[in-house]
Amino acid sequence: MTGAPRQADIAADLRRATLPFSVLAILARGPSYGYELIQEISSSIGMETSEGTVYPLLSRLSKQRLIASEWRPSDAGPPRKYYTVTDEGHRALRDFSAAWSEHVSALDTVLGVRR
Amino acid sequence: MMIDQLGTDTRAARRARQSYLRRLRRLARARLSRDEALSLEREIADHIDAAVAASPEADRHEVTLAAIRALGDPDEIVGSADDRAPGSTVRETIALLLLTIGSVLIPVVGWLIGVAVAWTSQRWSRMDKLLATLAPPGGLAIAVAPLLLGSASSGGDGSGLQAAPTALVLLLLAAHVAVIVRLARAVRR
Repeated sequence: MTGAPRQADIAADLRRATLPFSVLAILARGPSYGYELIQEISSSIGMETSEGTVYPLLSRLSKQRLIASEWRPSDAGPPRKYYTVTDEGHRALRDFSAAWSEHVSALDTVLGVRR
Repeated sequence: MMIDQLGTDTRAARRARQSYLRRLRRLARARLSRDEALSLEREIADHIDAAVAASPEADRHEVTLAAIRALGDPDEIVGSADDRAPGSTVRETIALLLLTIGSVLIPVVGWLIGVAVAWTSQRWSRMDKLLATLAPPGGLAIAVAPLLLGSASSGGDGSGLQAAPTALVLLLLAAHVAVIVRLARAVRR
């Protein structure tokens, strides 16, 4: 028998489910490469999956044309793959942001949370 | 003494990095397109190097191991990159049957159709399909076995040369079985 999910589990599920949009939001601030992006995710919202699985996620977002990538020369060594958000990605992020706000607001009402 | 320890740690870190990347490369090349596999390998290598570059030289061994741990199992990374649709495995099953039993029941034609069906698969990587094409068909070993073994027993002089046809038949069979096992595993992934 499984018990009710605890706060930490619920937060982890939310972080996992919203990771693609977190990635888009971070990249919307400016171009970034894998390691830098993962450091930012870890420090701002926390990683719930293995860091390595962010790379396939970036590949999927590229296939969906939400982000674009290019190899740029790096001072530290071989070229690095930098990612940027495309116009379509910015639109997807705006849509998610609006839907998220609406959903949170509706949930607040149901839960009786006052802000 | 400290310099010796630093050198040992650096070599150990390099070995850990190489071993991790080798495993990732093997899995990625088996399951992803060539471009996807190369890109993933380069990014993961860069990830480890970036983590190491940001740390003091004395900590590089520990940082390399920590970066590898945080990246996770290469199998999980490649599995998460492998977005081939789950679901029907009918084509792969038909191809496997034709490449094995089909090549015996309908010599040549059965195998040819099996290869053609294998190339329509969405689940097998290009490497899997190449192996299905280049590996000796199951029927071949069975077809050539009497010829090779017959010539060995009639023309043999009792020397070690007699063992060569038997070894060739076994080699053909082993290559066939190895490829079929790999393809069957790729279907289950």
